[in-house]
Amino acid sequence: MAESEVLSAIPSALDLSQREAVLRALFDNEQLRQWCIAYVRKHGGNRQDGEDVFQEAIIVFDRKLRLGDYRGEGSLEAFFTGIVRWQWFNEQRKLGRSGIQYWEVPPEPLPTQDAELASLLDERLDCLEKVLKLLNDKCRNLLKMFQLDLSMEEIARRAGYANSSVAKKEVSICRKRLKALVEKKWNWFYP
Amino acid sequence: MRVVLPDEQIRAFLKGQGSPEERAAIAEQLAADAQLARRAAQLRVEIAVSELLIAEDTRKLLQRWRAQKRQSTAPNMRFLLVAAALASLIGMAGIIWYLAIRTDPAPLPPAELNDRSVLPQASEPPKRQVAPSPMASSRPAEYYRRRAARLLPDPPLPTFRNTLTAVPDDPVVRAQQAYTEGHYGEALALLERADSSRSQTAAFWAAHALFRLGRYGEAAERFSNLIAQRSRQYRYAAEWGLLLCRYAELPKQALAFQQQLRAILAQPDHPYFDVAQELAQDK
Repeated sequence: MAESEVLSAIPSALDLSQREAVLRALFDNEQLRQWCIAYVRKHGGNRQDGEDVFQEAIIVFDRKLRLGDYRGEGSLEAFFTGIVRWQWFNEQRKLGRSGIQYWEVPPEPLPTQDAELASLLDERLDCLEKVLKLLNDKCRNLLKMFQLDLSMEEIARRAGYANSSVAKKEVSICRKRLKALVEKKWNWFYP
Repeated sequence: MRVVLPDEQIRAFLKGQGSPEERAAIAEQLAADAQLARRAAQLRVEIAVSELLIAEDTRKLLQRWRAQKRQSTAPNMRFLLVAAALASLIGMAGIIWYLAIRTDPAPLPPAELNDRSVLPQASEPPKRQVAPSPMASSRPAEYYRRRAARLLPDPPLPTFRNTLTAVPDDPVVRAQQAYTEGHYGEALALLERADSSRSQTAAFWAAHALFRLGRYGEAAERFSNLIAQRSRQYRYAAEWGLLLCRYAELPKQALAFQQQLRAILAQPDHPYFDVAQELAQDK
């Protein structure tokens, strides 16, 4: 398989264990971690900020990989460092600290397939968290597994249901519950 | 006629799936149909909420790994207690010895007077240094070797791409496997068979294997070669590796160590700048 094919297959090819392996490989990558810390320190942060940004960047990297935002242009390492740069810049901007002394040229915004989804996750975080609190643990768990594209058989196994039909029904109930909540709180997201 | 798109198709679109043509067709339909656009907006919130849940889980996982990492690098409490007990015993013996010397001021033969090793330490207190360099201390060689081994991170293990593209018979992949299992000699032998397209990766791993085998001179040579080649991928790590090779051989390699330490400290953006500074201050 050519590298380009492999790279384009990444988002759909990752199963749960591969996903964890990717996360672990990133987490253990001491070079990337040290680069991240050095970058944050150079741009007004300290070592702890660097560690925190490294962790958040892994989370964003995972999401962007699954949502097809990585298009195989450039290496994955470069994609990750782009996330670190943007993450730290954005954090400083939100705190009103993005002074020119640290950024002569602001980093490039991250590539995204769906700008509205990215904006929801960036600007409506508090509203999303409020909705999240209205969901019970069972639904949270099922929605998470559904979003990770687990098969109904796998969801049934993990959630302890008798079979995939039960899992399918339970997932559907939770999705409907969330849909009703979103309808009710529509203005939170789309004022 | 209005085309009804199933939810799953919209979800797949929002999750970045589908060919460019399929995606363009769906985007067109969403732009033309307000009802469909609203459904997409609902699903977008569903995805965003689910992604938050996943992020929460991932954060917990990473924090657990962070805690494990901290635990594994923290010094063993038992070892600390034993070390403290030994230190106080040595201290007490020193006091007794010092008192014995004071009460029995027998003149030393001139030859012994010139030999600092037999002079009582307490009679000439060492000068206080603000930032003692590692060479100034009288630690046993074993201390430097152990500390260097702790400070040298293992090469980044198969990354995302390698995880997916690994060919089981690839000597480099097998060497990496052998290395992670602690079979450094075997890893070295396998790396010898790596093809020329992966010479830098092979050299980098070989340097680490040699280091773990305690063959610091040879490891330093491999790291130096990578630095000389201005390897984009391995340069910084090789500079750090070279420094640790020198550190492991202190006090013998004191000069080379100082030289390499200065080279890293001259680059404030160097990823290992902070740790190098700690080494310089002998923390």
